[in-house]
Amino acid sequence: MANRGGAQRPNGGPGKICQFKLVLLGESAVGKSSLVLRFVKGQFHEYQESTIGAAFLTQTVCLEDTTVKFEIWDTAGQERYHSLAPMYYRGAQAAIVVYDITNQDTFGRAKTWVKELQRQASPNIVIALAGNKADLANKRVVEYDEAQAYAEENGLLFMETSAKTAMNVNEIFLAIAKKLPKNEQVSGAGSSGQTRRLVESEQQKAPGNCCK
Amino acid sequence: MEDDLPTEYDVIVVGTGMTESIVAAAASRIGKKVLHLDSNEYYGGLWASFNFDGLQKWMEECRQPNKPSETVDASKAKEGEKLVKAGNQFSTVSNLEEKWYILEEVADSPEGQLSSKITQTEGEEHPASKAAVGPGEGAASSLGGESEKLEKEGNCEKPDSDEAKDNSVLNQRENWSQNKLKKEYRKFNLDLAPKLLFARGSLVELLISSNIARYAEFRSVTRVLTWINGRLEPVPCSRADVFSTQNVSVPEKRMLMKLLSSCLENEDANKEFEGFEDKTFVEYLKSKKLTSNLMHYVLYAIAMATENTLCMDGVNRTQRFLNSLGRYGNTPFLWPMYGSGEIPQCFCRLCAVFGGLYHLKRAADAIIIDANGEKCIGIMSGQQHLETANLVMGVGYAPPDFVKTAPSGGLSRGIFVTDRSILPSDKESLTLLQFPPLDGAREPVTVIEVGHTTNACPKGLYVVHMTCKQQTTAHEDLKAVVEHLLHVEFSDGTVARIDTDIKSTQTAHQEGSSAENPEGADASGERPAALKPQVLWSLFFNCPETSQCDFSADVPSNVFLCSGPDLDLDFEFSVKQAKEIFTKMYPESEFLPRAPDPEEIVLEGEEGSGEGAEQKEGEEQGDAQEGPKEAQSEE
Repeated sequence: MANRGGAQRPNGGPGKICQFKLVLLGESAVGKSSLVLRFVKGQFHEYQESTIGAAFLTQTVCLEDTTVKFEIWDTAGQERYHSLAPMYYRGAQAAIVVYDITNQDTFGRAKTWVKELQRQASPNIVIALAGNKADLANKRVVEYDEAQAYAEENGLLFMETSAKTAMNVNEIFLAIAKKLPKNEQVSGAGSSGQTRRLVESEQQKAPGNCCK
Repeated sequence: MEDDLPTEYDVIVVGTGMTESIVAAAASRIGKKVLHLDSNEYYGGLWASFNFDGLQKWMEECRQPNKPSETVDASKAKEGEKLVKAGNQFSTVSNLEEKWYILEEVADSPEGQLSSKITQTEGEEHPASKAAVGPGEGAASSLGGESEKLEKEGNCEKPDSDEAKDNSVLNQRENWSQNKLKKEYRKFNLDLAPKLLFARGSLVELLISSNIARYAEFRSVTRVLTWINGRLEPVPCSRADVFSTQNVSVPEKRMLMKLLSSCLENEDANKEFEGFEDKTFVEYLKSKKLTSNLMHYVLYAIAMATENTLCMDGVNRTQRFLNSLGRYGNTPFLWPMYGSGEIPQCFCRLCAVFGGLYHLKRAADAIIIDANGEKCIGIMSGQQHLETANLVMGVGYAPPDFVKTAPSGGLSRGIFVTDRSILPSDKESLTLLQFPPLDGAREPVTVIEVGHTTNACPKGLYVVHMTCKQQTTAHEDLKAVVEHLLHVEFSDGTVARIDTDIKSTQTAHQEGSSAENPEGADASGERPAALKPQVLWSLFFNCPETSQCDFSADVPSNVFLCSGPDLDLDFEFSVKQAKEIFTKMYPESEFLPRAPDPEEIVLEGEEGSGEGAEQKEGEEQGDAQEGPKEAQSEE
């Protein structure tokens, strides 16, 4: 928590630092966690177990004059039986909805997740659609153009990605970072000013810590 | 079509109420295999918070007569097993009364509505202007805040047209119809069981020590009010408050500080309270020769006690209040953003993060017990036979045979959507008011008022929650307090209230002929009172209070029942109950040890670079590997 507080202060470095909550959505096994692992750690595991214990990661992206720090939330498997809690969406400023280009059902479900976001999340949320497993092009069933058209219709960022080859992984996070409003006071779903996360001592409640 | 679940668990938890969720998290955290079910499609059961639409659905379900219970297919039981049907006697909500006090549709000129809409949208889509005003000011939705914001935007000609402008803005903003309110349904978060957190209470400590705090955000309660001499007064709770308040004379201030200090000094407690062990807190306060003014503050607002509270209990309650001062904000209390219903979800998330399996809209239809009725084997859920070493269950789902000795206590609840604060101030306030028992017979009523900065409601509106012990029906029990605080006449949004605003605090007397009649405050005659908030919509209901039930008497040894919402202000009871249940199941294990933070974990070969704050892209790395390792090592 101390680091989080610190990370939001410019610390004399160039430009400002903004922190955003980003949520991942999509069916089980489309590669949500793999995308994040690739983005955060530059790693890929062919047989990635479903996410245990690590459903909360951070990574920073540097834009010209701004450092964007993503606080990335994984579903922790709660999507499996359609039991994702509303608190998951709270205050999320960005979302990546992931599907698997080799599985038509997951694309259909992705559309449902987009609707769910429109229903539950902050109205200004930046949504990106990621067609993952692009390295398996020979097994492709979801056409690029179809997804692209859908994304355009709904105002989503869209890229096909591969956590395995790292294709477009950094790019999609970068694209989101660019699209996010950089005013530090801007935040999702009305949380402004004096909301606070609880920390061990009040000293750590630096001004930057409570406004995301 | 029902999903197939794995069939063996260490713990099956039925119901996503507060205690259940904490136990689920604690078990999962130490590597136990947890299945967490709820027959509802939402989290929290009677602890839930809903948006306006969700609340309507909840009411519909409550109004439906109990569904004819499905017969349990006994053939699914294996040899030597008995099936006991799940019950619902403690999840029954009664005396549900919903009422509107405004028109369904406002017959307004379309221009008026349009501009009103624009005003609102502007308020939300110019965060920059909010920022310019500074933290806190952006949160203000009172007239003062609004006009200030307009000024900052630089397109507000003043000062001569100032008042007219304010009024017009206000008029448009107040023009709520049922349909308009329903259209904004998503902006509501209405709590079935509103709870505050003491800043040093057991839940806050648990959230921090377990690192679950990172899933939730809070706001400080900004003021504590009391009802004294027929009107609302702020309660001085910090030292600074005590010194600055004008409601307490200087000798009284000394008296108060002395009393509060002696309540805090544990070591001398025995001496100080000698002889009062069997007496009431009031008797102790009287012995200190407190003025009636001070008695009121200490007894009702600080200790939140009654005349029957025993001395040491009153002292403990006073301590609890005082110890929580000065940690966050001006009062001892925190309120969860998006409502109390978020808190169980935070624990559920931690449970899931450590491998717990979640399935909403999935019921435990029957409990499977062994032939002797001594041990629970598992549950029947739909067509599935699910086995577990321990069963944790919300009392709402418990078979009647499991809770034979239940008292019939209940809670009376009222929820009100209003058009202004019960005591307007220049910033949006988050208020706790412990309304003292009005006459000997009545129970104290806990009143919590929240505004849009907590995401409880759209901007410009307030939500008032009232809770007390059930005596008759919620409506009856709360009636007197409602009438003191709120305007509960139907309003068609025309003449009477349209030109009333906060400024009318000064002019209310000239407008005394209007429908409002702040009778309570008039009695004092010392100053004009603000107009009471117009209620736009209200809901009353009663629900069972089960914290006093004995849950261990009639259950198999590996079944643990969890209470529904209790009367207490904080979640202390649930935390305690959850800890007890966990300790019975896993006496050797630590209760919710700290979950790791991504930043604090240093990768191999990266030693010493833990202060990742200044690191640039690519250098700062998360805990994707460390987390799972830790979880697995404990299995």
